[in-house]
Amino acid sequence: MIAAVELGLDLVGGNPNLTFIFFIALVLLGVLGLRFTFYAYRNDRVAELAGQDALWRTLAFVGVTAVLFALLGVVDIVSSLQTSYRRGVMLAHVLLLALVLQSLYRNSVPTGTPGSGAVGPGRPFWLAGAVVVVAVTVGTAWNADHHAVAALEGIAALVFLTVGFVVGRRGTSASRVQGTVVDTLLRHLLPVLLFASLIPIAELAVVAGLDQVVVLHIQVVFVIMTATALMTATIKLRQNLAGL
Amino acid sequence: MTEDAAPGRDEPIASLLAVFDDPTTGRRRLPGLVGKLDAEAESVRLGAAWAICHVAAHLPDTAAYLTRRLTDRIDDEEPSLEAELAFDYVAARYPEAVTEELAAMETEAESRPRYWPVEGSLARANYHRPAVGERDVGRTRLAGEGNSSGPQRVYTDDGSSHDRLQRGTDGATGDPMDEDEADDGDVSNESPDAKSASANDSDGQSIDGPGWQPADDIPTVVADSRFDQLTVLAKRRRGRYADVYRTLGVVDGEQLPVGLSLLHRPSQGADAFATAIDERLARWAGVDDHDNVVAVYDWGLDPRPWTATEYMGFSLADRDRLDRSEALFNARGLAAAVTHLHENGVVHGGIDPGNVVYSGNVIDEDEVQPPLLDDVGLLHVVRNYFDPTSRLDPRYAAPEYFDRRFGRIDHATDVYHLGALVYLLFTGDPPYDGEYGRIRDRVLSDPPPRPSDVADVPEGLDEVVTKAMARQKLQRYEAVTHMEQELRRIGMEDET
Repeated sequence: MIAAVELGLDLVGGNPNLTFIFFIALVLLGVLGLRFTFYAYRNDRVAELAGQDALWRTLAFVGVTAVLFALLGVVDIVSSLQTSYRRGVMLAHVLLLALVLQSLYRNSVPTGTPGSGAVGPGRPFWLAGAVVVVAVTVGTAWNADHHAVAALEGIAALVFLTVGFVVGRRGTSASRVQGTVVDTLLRHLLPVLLFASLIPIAELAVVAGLDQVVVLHIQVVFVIMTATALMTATIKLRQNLAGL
Repeated sequence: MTEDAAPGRDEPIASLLAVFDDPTTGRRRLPGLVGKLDAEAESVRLGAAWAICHVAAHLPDTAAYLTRRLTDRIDDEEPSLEAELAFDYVAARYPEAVTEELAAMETEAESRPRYWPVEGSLARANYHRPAVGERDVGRTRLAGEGNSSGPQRVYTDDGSSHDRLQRGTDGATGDPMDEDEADDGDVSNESPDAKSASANDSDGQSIDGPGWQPADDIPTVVADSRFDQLTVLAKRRRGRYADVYRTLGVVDGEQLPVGLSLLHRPSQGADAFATAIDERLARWAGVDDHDNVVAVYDWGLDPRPWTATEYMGFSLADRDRLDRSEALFNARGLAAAVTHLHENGVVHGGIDPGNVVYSGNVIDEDEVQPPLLDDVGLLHVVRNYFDPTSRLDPRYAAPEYFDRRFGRIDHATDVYHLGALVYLLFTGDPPYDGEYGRIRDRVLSDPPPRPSDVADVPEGLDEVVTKAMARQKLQRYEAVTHMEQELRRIGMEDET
């Protein structure tokens, strides 16, 4: 099967300019995602404290999904391989970001302390989210009905964004969190979540009848924004690593 | 708590009463209680004597400390009746311990070197022995003075084999001192041999333990210093980092009260230690332009690392619980100082009550004195050569000092220590207390303590302390400025 893959430029939306910008954006996201993954991994390795493992590993997976999405996108451009299922990877990226925001908040405001209250949805929600991610990945891989998959993808991203944003905002406004390192990390990750989730959410515009090429033009902007937001969040991971 | 109910001007009485509520807390209050024997009000002096007896009755191991502190007062030309009262009680109750301590004091007095004013310039390198009848220039009555067997015991915990919770401080003195005593020519503790002992007499240094060097280093220090004249006003006091001399320096005709510290030298790696200390002192000098940081006048490495700093008479460790407004004043001042350090890339690393010092020789509870940070950054070096638990009070130490997994000593460590100090300032108690192992376990496993659990504190202070003292650095204040802002807000809300 690999032998059947041919190297060559596969234009995004049939537009050379858009393809070039997408290529640059995906490389940028890949490199910065890799850097983010590296520092999250290093934090995980160096921080031996119980209770922090899950946080750093989830952050590392956030980076991995960004890298995977970028890598698959580049492969799509430079080869005959079709990797439309990478949209599921981006949805996983958004889901993990929302989960990280909740973990950070829970880590800072343990259950039972003032202000802990409801810190977000429980395990069933995240499991359901994972099922949706798999469904979108499989749906796009099997070329299922484009509109149905796009609608599922967009709505799921919207829900993940809402949950992550609410939890994140609640965290940054909690007096127990304000001014702490967690506060800063939350504030750095919120833009990543916002821009990353807008990539799949933009697919809803296709469902609404907007031309796919136009949507791709919008999405490439969000890919670039996601990459730059990841870069600032990486700074925080580096600072934390320096203190360990 | 009784103490809580009577803050402010009633503080002296309230702190006495608090001892009766819980005598075990009297151990750390003893320096303050002994200091109250000099109070103007007779009721306070009598109350202090009463409280001292009460503490001694419950804590037999304080007898040695009390023996030293009380004999100082009894030996005065105008002895304190209240001190005699307390001493008689302690002596009657623990005759063996008091006898042993008196014997130890006599031995120390015989071997203790004495110093006299040294002139500047070329002549300043020469000590001169006083003529017959020339008077000693004073003495200190410090917790932590002299060798470790005596006064420092007061800072240890009950029955602990971990005798490491000492709060001796380089800048601490618990008593009004010394000009009068200097003029009185107190030599009562000196044997004839000691009176005639030369400052350069190496035998005079035999009491020094490992890592201590003869104090005849002083002439060289003075010769190398920027001072035209440096007069040693009081005998050596053994601090945690250094042997400290209260001196009077003269530079360009200006007189400065100077604390001359001869830093303890490690038995191994003295050169590397000196180089590292030099770098740290340079950093300290680079940030001493803040109102809440002790000024470094001069320092050097020859013949051993030494510093000449602003003289600070006593430390936070010597003080009783502060009233709320003064606690807030102190907390904000210290936060501002740490912010200043961090803005200039300096991490203190060893902030505890012993390193929060105050100018002057008298603890005047009616006067609000600004707190100053001492020994800035020195612990980074010292802890590599000496037992860090004897240089930093474990009750205030951050988790990263106990367990490497909590990370490096950095800005976040200062944040933790500052939080622990805020706890002390508002509650009068350390955040953790007890035997060393128990403190360690609690620091590493318990949630941060809440000041409101033990005292009436301003609203919002719990959040500040728990955030500053979070075990994981992730959950601590990212910058002390945030903490400073919240303390300021608490202050404004408290005023309204």
